[in-house]
Amino acid sequence: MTQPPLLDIKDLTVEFRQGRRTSPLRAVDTVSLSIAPGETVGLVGESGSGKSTIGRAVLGLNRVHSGQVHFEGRDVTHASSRLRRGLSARLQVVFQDPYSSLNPARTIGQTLAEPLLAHGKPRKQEMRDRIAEMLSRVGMPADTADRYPGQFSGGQRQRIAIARALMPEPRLVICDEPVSALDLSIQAQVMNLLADLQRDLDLSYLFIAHDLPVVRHLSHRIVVLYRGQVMETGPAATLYDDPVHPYTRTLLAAVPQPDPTAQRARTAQRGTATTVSAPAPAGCVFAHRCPHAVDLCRRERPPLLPLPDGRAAACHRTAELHPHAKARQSQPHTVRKHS
Amino acid sequence: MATFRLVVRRLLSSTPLLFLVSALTFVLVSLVPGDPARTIVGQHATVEQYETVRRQLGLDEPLPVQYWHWLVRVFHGDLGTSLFSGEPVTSVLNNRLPVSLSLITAGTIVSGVLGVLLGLLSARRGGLLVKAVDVLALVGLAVPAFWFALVLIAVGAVRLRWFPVTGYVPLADDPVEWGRSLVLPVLSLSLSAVAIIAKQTRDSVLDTFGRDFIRVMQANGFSRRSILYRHVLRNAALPLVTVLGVVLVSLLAAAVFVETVFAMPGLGSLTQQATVQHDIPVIQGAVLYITILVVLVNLLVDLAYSRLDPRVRAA
Amino acid sequence: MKQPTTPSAPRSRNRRPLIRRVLVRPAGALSLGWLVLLTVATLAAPLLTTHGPLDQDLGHVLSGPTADHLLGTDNLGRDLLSRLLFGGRSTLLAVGEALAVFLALGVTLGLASGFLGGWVDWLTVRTADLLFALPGIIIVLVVLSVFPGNLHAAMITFGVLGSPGIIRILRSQTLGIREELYVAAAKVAGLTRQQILRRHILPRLISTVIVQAALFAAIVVTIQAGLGFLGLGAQPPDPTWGGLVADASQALDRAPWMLVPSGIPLVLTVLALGSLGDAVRDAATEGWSVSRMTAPTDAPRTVRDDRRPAGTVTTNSTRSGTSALLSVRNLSIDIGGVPVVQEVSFDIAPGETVGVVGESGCGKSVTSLGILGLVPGGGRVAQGQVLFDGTDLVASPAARTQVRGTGIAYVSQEPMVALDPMFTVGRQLGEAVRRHERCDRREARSRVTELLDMVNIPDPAAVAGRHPHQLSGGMAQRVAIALALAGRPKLLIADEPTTALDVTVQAEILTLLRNLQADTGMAVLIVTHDWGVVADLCHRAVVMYAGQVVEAADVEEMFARPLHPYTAGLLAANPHRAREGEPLPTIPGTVPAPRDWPSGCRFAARCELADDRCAEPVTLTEPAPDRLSRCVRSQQLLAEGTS
Repeated sequence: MTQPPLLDIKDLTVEFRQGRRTSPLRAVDTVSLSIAPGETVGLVGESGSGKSTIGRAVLGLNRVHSGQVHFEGRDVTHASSRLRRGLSARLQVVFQDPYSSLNPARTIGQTLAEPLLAHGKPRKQEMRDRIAEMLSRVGMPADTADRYPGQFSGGQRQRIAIARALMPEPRLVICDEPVSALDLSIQAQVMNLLADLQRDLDLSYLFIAHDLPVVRHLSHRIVVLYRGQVMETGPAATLYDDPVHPYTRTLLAAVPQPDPTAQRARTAQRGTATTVSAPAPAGCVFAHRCPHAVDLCRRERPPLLPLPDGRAAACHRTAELHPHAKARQSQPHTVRKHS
Repeated sequence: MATFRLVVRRLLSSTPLLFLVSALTFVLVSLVPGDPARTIVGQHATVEQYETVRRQLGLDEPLPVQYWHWLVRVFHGDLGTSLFSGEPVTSVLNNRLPVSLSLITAGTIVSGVLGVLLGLLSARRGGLLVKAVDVLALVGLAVPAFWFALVLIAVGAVRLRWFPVTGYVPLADDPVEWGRSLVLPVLSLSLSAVAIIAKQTRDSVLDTFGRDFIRVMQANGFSRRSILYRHVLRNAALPLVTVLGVVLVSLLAAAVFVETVFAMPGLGSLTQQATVQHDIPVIQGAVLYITILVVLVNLLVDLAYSRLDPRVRAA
Repeated sequence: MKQPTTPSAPRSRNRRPLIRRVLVRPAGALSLGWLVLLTVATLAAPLLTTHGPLDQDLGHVLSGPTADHLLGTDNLGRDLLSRLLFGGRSTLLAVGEALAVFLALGVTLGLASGFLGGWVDWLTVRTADLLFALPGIIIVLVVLSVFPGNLHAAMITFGVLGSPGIIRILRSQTLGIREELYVAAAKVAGLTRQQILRRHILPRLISTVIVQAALFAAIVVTIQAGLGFLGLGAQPPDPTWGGLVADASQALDRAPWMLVPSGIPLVLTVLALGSLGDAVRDAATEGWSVSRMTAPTDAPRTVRDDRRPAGTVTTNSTRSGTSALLSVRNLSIDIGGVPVVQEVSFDIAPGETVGVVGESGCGKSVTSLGILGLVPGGGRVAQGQVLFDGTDLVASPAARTQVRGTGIAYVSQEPMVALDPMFTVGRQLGEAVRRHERCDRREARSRVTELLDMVNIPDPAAVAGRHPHQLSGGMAQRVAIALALAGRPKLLIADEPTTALDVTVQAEILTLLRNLQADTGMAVLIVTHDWGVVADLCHRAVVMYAGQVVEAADVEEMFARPLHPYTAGLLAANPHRAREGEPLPTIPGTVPAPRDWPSGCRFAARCELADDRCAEPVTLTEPAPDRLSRCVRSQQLLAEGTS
């Protein structure tokens, strides 16, 4: 990347207290990632991976334990509420649950006006025009502004939530599982909308989701998380087609493909093991589920090491396992969109 | 062992309540207009006599010290003497306690049994019974116990002469008369409690019936009887236990009125009389006794809860 | 989450103000009417009665109602109506005082505690919990013994002692609202705390405050009367409601009538306050959020034609014919009088896995529960047959009860709530085992271990001793499957069994289901929205749209050549099949709600291929052997697909 990153996260750690006696739960553990202007970074992981916590920490909704968050070159890790108010014009959010994210007692117009309130009251007509413009941009009819959230379906609400995020013309939008609660046909509509908006408005996204194919379709780069730690990161296509880290491979192998023949071939190789959630060991957090784990993995946490092709993986055995991964690269392999 | 620890923890955590209430009473009492020492020695006493009594009563010391002395005496079972009768407060209270306990225990049993039965019927049968329980709940809230007691006396004692108008016969004197003397008081005490318990039972049974695991059990062929009596009831009992605790405490309060109406020599009517007579030591003692009863009720609720709910048990 | 659509969606009705919503309810209007009437009459008492409250008419002592004394007189011949009205003034004052303290303390502390958190919260909650446990009347009596006859002090004390109730409620509600995502969005939008409080939190608390105030006022009225009755309030001869009851108690044997004027207005007032509270609560929840299940959709509204003749659907089944284990024939299900599933037919052969696919609101779950006769939401099977092993389960409730668990078993979507939280895994499985086969406790226990073994649970003995809350989601789903297997069913209905699980756990559960099927030979009906799950597990798939079957075929055939535009669109919208840098193919619009189903093809409004023919009802046809499609162009699609 030649441009300085829009968002730069360094060694971010977030902890949650769980009662007085037990030690705090480390939800995010020294995670680093950066997002360039106009780029989408996908954050993938299963429940408990800390992916949403990272988004909320960037937004100031969760307290950062250690590490730094820089936005537009400025340290916003522990930003005051005044600084946050200034940021809100350029840093916005779309949440997963379209039902909880709109106040049922306020009209859509009132909800959409909200992000502009922090920056002085614009004139009424100006506000109304802006709302109308934003609504049409996300494909909602003009009379939406006077109605209440209860009158809209999940997909429509998600469009409205997107419109709210875009009201102050932000540069980065944190998308926290924006399509997970939606049905397949609606999910595709919203994904296309997000892609169109990015193209037209030169937006950056931090796209958080548990569904790898969804992340893969929208992201330029992907960061794979497991138990609060980065397992692997790299360009979307490379990572998806040729995963290096055993966890990424497990994750990809688990996603059932909508193709009966291919899927049947894959399931034939699947074991019948049962996942037992063991407490995080001192070494690699994935070691207890990893088919390739050796003694070293259980003793020492592997560092996130960069690989020659722009990727990085946190695995002691990358050097041994990677040649095997390379061998599978004979499949058609698309070049990354963004460089 | 776990139960023992729970009891200890719960008792420890309720000491603040005892201190709070006793301190509150003490401070309030210190605000009494007039001067107890003056009251005792009378208007014509000399300054020396007055000062002596003041010192004897400990009134020349600062309030916290007075409170401390009072606490120490309480721990030795000395709650002072009644200004009115001159009897030791402890013995006054101990004489009164069994009456209130009979009344409240009987009230709890009657309202618990009636309320749960009514609630269950309403949940199972639906239709009119659902409405009936809703109406009962409103009426139970609306009809004051003391007025309802008078209505019961007017009908059951004055008109029909089935029960004594007022008074209380100790159990030891005559068990039958004891029972007869309790019927009307218990009924008037129980009306609102039955209403609250019936509604809560109905609501939590219906709520449980709507939960996923009940549908899973139905779909997998569990018997209706087992679903209702084992699974629904056990789950519905949890919120019910909490409500029962609240109801019990509210019975303590309602006893003040009911005991007064029926002229029963219990803690409630004692509190009322002491209030009218400004008998401060008795009031302090009664409040302490009632607070201890509240603490015990809450302890019972917690124990029942931890018996019932495995999630609490494990924690 | 995936509740079936309850078709009671109130459509774009603008929200009326709360007061109007309360007044349209009979209970609300009556209560409010009584309270207003009472207040006015009390304030205007001198204008309404000719007798003063203290005027004695010794010629008419303890009289019943007469023309002169509408409610009769007391033992001194004083007019009861007059005493009632003048006595109401002290009640009003008492309610005002106690309520003011109650609200001032309650709202401030409740909000502060919930919104600010930290030590404010800690201190408030501790104190409130302590005070909440106390019977307030006792403390009020202490106050009255110290300040004799001072009702103001008593009412202020009672307001303080009552406030913990509302503090706790407002606190927990504020905490809940604070966690709502729209509050997070408002924070991100840069709104100040005050703005968030004013715009998002306070408006949602108003109805709660009104409800709590009404209930508290009801208690204050009772307590104030009670104090008057005990002779602790205003001193005679001043009239109070409680004093009236006390007067009545003195004349119980001579004039029982006095109980009526002294008590009934009191009861009515408390009743009015109580039911006003209920009415406000109901009115407030009515208008707000239309719940998830009833959220409307944006499909065009068309008049639905109910007169369509039944049985127009071809039901010559796919493949299995008479050998079918389960044969669903023209099954229609109504919920609340609105059809949500219409004339659904499909067969499942022994040992076969069939997927029912579609988006939410298409009737998949309702159909699967309808097979077992367990339609949720008060719905019912309106018509059709469910033939299991040749017996019609719709016609015979006995057979239906018989078949549950032993013939057909069921696994639900949310494993964490599918088991009774009160009992251990072993107890629940044991109960299922003993229900289905005759055996003693020891045999049952070994069968439980065997079942847990079957679902690949590593340490069956340990897991049997656990309670559901001690299990992970994947483990709980395995236990739920074991529970379903207890009766050795021939058919397992699994409603989105992996939707709530992580993808790696989903893979394990899918593998488990496949292996179980291979081992036991049971058939599986799996409801899902995920094409990957269909491809993974199913032999055949039935696609549902808006309550109807729109396509049924072998899985390979369907994926290769969908014969309905909805199937094709749904398959294409899958991001798995996306092409790099290109937009995903989409289906415009959303699934119509049952009330909005058109009389013609229900998919026409969203279909690129729709033409005039689609305005008429479309029947299910068999364009190719073992393939069903509900589309006028199915033949054309077949030709295009094979070419």
